[in-house]
Amino acid sequence: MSTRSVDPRVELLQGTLDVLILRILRAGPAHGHEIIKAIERNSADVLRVEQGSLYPALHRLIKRGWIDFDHGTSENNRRAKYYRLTREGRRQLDVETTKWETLARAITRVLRPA
Amino acid sequence: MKRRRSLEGLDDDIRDHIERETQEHIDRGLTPEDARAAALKAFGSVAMAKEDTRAIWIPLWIDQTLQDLRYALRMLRRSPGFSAVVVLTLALGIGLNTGIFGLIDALLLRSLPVRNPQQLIALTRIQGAQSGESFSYPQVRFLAGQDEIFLSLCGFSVDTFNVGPPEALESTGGAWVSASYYQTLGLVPIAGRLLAPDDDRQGASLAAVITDNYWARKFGRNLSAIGKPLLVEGVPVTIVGVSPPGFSGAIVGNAADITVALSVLPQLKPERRSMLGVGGRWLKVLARPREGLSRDQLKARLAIVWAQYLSTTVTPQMSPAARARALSPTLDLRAGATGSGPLRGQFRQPLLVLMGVVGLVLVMLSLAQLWAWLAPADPRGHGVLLNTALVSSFVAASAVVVTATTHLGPRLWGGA
Repeated sequence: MSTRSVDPRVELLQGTLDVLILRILRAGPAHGHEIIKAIERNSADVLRVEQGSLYPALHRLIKRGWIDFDHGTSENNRRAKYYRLTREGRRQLDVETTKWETLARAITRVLRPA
Repeated sequence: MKRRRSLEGLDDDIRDHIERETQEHIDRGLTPEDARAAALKAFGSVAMAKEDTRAIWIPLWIDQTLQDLRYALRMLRRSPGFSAVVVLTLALGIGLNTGIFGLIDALLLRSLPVRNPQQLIALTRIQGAQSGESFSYPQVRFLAGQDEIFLSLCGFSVDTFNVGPPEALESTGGAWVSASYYQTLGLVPIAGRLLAPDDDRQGASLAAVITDNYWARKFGRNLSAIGKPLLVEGVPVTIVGVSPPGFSGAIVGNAADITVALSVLPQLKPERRSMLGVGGRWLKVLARPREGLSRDQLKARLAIVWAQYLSTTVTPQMSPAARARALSPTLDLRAGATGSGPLRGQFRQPLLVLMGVVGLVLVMLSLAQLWAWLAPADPRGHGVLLNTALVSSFVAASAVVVTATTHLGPRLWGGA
């Protein structure tokens, strides 16, 4: 795939941002800035995303068919792209969530043996 | 397409995003300038975000090609000497190839500038293992009379005429042609008239057709040239007309500026009178067959009349061997669209070979350079590759130049 990179850290970060976007959009369509704010709010401001990296991630998800967008008008009457989850994206979110939980549990187990 | 639709308005989206973030900071009490600075900081590099987003949509192969190109350009900049050699060699190779192709085109490929050249056929005479394209004047006259086979048929040959008054003779390319030369080629005069069947009979007045090129050179395309006498071999010949621009005779590579009928040969060159007899085989034959005749039908009919002709040439006094020999020639035909030309037989092979060699060298060069430029950036291996390419460039370039100058040059432009 064209998005694969040699640096594993980037891979992990990208993957993380992607699944977070999918999770946020499950609640309903949102524009770019709203997605960032939702991630910050939902993680109790622990996760700080470099906001610019949201756009490549959004387009990667569109390309894979997991999200799509519509043009809409926001509260203050500004045109904006509203991103929404596709049916495929919903399925992918379940897959990614399970993966993430498995990974997180495994890492926790290694770091903090009972 | 998904890509286009998604990337549309990306700039606006990002600007909008930053404005919202700025507004948020203002609402928290920052000054507009500080708010904007904070928003930009949180966003990170706008240019990079845009580039990364667009990159998502670039197919892998384009991406890699671009990388390779950038790499090649970097290499070019780093070694300007090598680059200059490469560019010069390529330029030389391409130039040579173009030049050689120009010659091939002119000599071998280009159709005569006549009406429907693809309808023309050229006759070939086959005797035993030998074949030739030369016919005698009586043979041409006989074949030209076969109007159930040919719409028209002509014989012709090039010659050199001494033109002008004795004190200022100019050697000029000319052609001897049979009655329906211009009719067969389907040409229309640009001034005056062209030679007609009446000009090719005994006792006809001396008439010449000149080419447009000659008309321009000698008469500045002045219409008063028509009807003027031209001294050819010391004999006044009337200029009756000018052939169309671009036409310089049916024999490629031998421009014939002055065209006269074969029947006036005894008046212009009395010493060569015998060439009009059965013994002189020196005329090329081009014909326009009747429409609707297939090549096989054409050959079959031609074989019948040709056998009739040959039977008139044998005499009872001939020995059986001589009689058999006289009856043995057969006819074949080939496409006549490109006319005929002695240069053609002579240069066909060397030209094609040279073209092939130059082409091959170009391909090899390009491969060598690509290889050198795009090879993995292993510094030592790379140096070796560069040197290989450099040396092969020099060798190839010298080979091409030497071949061209020693073989082609003298034969085409020099003495021979």
